[in-house]
Amino acid sequence: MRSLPAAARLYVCAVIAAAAVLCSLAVFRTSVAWRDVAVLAVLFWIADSAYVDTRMRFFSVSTGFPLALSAILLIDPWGAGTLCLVGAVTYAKARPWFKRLFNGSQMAISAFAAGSLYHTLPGSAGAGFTNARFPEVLPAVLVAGVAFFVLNNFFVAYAIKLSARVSLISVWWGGVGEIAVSSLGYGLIGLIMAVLWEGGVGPVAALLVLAPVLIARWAFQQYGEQHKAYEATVASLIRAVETKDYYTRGHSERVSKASVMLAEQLGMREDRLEMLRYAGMLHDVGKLGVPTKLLQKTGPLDDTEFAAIKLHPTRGFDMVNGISFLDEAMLGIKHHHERVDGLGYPDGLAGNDIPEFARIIAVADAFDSMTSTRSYRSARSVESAVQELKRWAGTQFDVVMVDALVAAVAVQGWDANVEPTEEIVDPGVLVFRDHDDPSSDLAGAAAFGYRPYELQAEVS
Amino acid sequence: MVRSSRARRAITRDTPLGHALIAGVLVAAIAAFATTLHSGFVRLDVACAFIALIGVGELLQVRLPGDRPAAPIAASGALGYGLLFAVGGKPVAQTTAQVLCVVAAGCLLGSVVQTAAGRRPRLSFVARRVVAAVVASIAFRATAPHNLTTLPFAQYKQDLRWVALLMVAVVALVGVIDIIVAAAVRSSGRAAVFGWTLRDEVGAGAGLWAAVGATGILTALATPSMQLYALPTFCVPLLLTQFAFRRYAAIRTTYRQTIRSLSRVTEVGGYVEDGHAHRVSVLAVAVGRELGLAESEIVDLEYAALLHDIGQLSLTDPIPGGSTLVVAPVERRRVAELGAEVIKTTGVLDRVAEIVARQADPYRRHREAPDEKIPIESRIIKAASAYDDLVGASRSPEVSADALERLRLGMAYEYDPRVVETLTRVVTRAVERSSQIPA
Repeated sequence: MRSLPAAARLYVCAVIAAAAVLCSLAVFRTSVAWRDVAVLAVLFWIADSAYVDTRMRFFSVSTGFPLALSAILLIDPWGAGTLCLVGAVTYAKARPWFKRLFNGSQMAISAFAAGSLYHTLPGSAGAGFTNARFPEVLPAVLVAGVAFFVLNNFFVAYAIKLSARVSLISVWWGGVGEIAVSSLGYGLIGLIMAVLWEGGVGPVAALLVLAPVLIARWAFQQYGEQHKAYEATVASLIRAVETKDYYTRGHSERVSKASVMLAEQLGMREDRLEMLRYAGMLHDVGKLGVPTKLLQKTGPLDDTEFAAIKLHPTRGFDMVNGISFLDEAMLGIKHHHERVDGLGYPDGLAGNDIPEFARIIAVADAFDSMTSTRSYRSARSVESAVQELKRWAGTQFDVVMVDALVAAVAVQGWDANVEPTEEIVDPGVLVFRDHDDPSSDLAGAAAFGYRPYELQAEVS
Repeated sequence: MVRSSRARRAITRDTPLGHALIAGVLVAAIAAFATTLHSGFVRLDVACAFIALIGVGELLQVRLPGDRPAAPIAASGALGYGLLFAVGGKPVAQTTAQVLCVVAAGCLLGSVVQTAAGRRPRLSFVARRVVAAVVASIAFRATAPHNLTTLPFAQYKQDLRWVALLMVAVVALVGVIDIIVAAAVRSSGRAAVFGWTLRDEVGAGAGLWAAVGATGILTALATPSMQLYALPTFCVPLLLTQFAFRRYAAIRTTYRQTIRSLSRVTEVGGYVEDGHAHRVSVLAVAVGRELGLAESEIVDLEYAALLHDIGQLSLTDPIPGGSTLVVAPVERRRVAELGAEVIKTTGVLDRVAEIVARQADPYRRHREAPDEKIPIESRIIKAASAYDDLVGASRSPEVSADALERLRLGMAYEYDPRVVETLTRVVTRAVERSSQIPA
C-alpha cells in the first residue's frame, strides 16, 4: 500500500469504503435472497480461484465473469454486489491484500450498478429471472453485461493509471478490447446459467455450465505450458550451440532481451514481440556453419575468411525457414548485419528496406557485444556503449532504434554480462574478433568492408 | 510440410471399419428419411434450425493434439437435437428416425460445402457424430419419463433437475462408446494396437468431449425456455473454447517445426551428413508406427530421432564424415550421453532425453539376456541411424540391400531382431515403391 502514489492510495481507499458501505446497507435489505447469494458465491469462488498462466497478456479466460453476470440477472443488485465482494476476497491469487480488497470492491460496485441498471430496463425479467421472455429480455441482458464489463475495467484501468502514472487511453488500449470479446462471449454462459437456475435445474446446472469454461481454461493452460516448454527448449538448444561454437555465452538470450526491451519502447504488438524474442534468440544460429577456428582467429581475416563469416545470417535464415510461425523473425535473422547506409551484408539493403526486426536486432546485438567482457578486452560501461551506439546512429544503425534502446535502458537499466568468460589478454594483440562490436579496432572494421570515410567518421 | 501431412494421414487413414461405419450411417439415414417422410416431420422449423447449426458447425473445425479433426459445434448441436424434448414451452416429440435424419442432413450439408471449398471432409469422423447423437437420443428416450414429451414444459419444471442428471448419465455413456468406436475404427485391420489407440483417444478426446457433451445438454435444457435463441447463445462460448484449442494446436505445430529445424545444427556445423537427422526421423517414425506405438510415443520418438546426434556439439572435433557407426562404441555412448544432457536441460523433454541416452546401448551383451530396460524407441533409433549411416542419401536398391544385410548380421547382439525385421519390411516397401516410379 505504501508503495502507491498518494492519489492512487486515496482512490483505492475510496473504492473499498464505498463497497463497504454498499454491503453494510445490503444487510438490511429484505429483498435479498441470501441462500441464492451463498450458493452463487461458492460457485463464483470455484470458477475464479485457480489462477491460470495463459502466457497471453490480453486474452484470458475470465471464469468469474459469467457467474457474476448470472448473479446480476438472478438476484437483486444489493445481493449481487455483496456476492462479488465475498467471492473476490477469497480469491486465491498471490497478491497484496489491498489489491485483492480493491478488486473485490470494484467488482461489487460494478455489479451493483449494472444490476440496478438492468432492473430499470424494459424487458428485464425481474428478480429470479422468472418472467424472462425471449427474445424481449436479450437487449436488457446485453446492456447489463456491457455495463458490468465497462465499469469493472474502468475501475481497474483508473487504478493502473494512478499507480503507474500512464494515460488512461494507453491502459485501455493495452488490451481491454481483446478481453471484451472473451468476457462477453463467456458472459453468455451467465445468461444460460440464469435460464437454467430459474428453470429448476439447480446445482447440476452449475456443473454443466462450468464444464465448457473449465475446459477452455484447461486448453489455455495447456497452451501456456506448451509455450513454456517451447521457450525452454529453444533456449537450451541455443545454449548447447553456444557452448561449442560461440566465444560468448548467453549472448543470444541477452540480445533477445534487449531487442524486446527496445521494441516495447516502440509500443510493438504482443504477438510480434514474441516473434522478436525468438528472432533475437536465434539470430546467430547460422554461425554454426562458420568454422570455429575462423570465429576464434587471432589474425586479420582475408577475403575468403570474411566471406565465410558473412554467410552466417543467411545460413541461420535457411535453418529456421521451416518454422512457419517465425515468418517475420526469419527476415530479422537474415538481415541483422545490414546497415542503414546500405554497406552491410548479406544483401546491402539500406534504410527502411531493412526489415524492422533486423534493425532492432542489429542495435541490440551491438549493444550486448560492447557491454560484455571479451577475451581481448574488458566490458565497456553502459554509458560508453550508449555513446558508441549514438555515434553510429544514421550510418550503421537506425536512429529510431538507437533512441528507443537508449530510452529503454535508461528506464529499466541493463544487466550487463561482465563476468569474464576467459582470461583477459593484452589488447595490443587484438585483432577483430567480434564482428558484432561496431567499435572494434580499425583492422577489423576494414576487414568488414567499411570504407575509409566511415573510419574517419568514427575517429572524428 | 510433407511430414505433418504424413502424420495426419496416419490418424485419419481410411480403415475397413471406417468405411463400414460410413456406409452403415448412410444406409440408415436414407431409411430414416423414408420412414420420417411417411410419418411426417415434427416441428420442421426446429429441425431446419438444427440442420443449419450442425452444417455450420461442420465448417468450423479444430485440430486436436495428434491432428484429430473435431467439430465441437456440430457435435454438440447434434447431441442437443438428440436430447431435445421441448421448444418454447411446448413439447417436441421427434422420433429417433427424425433425429438421425436431421443430424445426417446437417453433416451432409457441411461436408458438401467443405468439398465444394476444396477441403476433404473426414467422413468417418462425421459418421461418428451422427452415431453419437442417435445413440444419445435412443438412450434418453428409453429412460426418460414418458410424459416428458407430451406434457407442457411448465408442468415439468420441478423435475427438470432429474432430467438433467439423466442427460449427464446418457452423455457420459455416449462419450465412452464414441471413444471406443474411434479407437476401433483407427485400429481396425491392426487388431494388436487397439489398447494403445484407446488410451491415445481417451487422452486426446476426453476433455473436449466433456465440453461438447455439457453444451449439448445445456442446449436441450435451455431451449424449452429460450426457444431457438439458445442455439446461437451456445455457439459463442464454444467458439471461444475452440479458439483456445486452436492456439494450443498452433504452438504444438510450432514446437515440432522448431525441433525439426534446430535438429539441423549438427549438419550445418559439419558434424553429420546433410539430411541425416531428417532421414533417421522419417524412418524411425515409420518403424514405430509399424510396431504400433501410440501417437504420443511417436512424437517423442520423432524428437529423439531428430536430436539423436545433438551430443556431437559437445565434442571438440567433429567425427570425420559424421558417421557414428564407424567410431568406437565408447565414443558413441559418450555422444548419446552428452546429447541426453543437453536435452535434459530443457526441463520438458525428459522422455526424449532418456531415449537419446540409451540409443547406443547394444540389444544384449555377450552371454546375457536382452536388456529389457532399453526403451523400444532407443532400439528403433539405433537401427535406423545405423541404416542411414550405411545408405545415406543413396536410393540404390543394392546399397539398401547391403545395409540391411549388415544390420541383420548384427541382429540379436547389437540390434533388436524385431526392430530390424520391421525396418527391413518398411525399407523394402519403400524401395519397391520408388523403383515402380519411372526415373
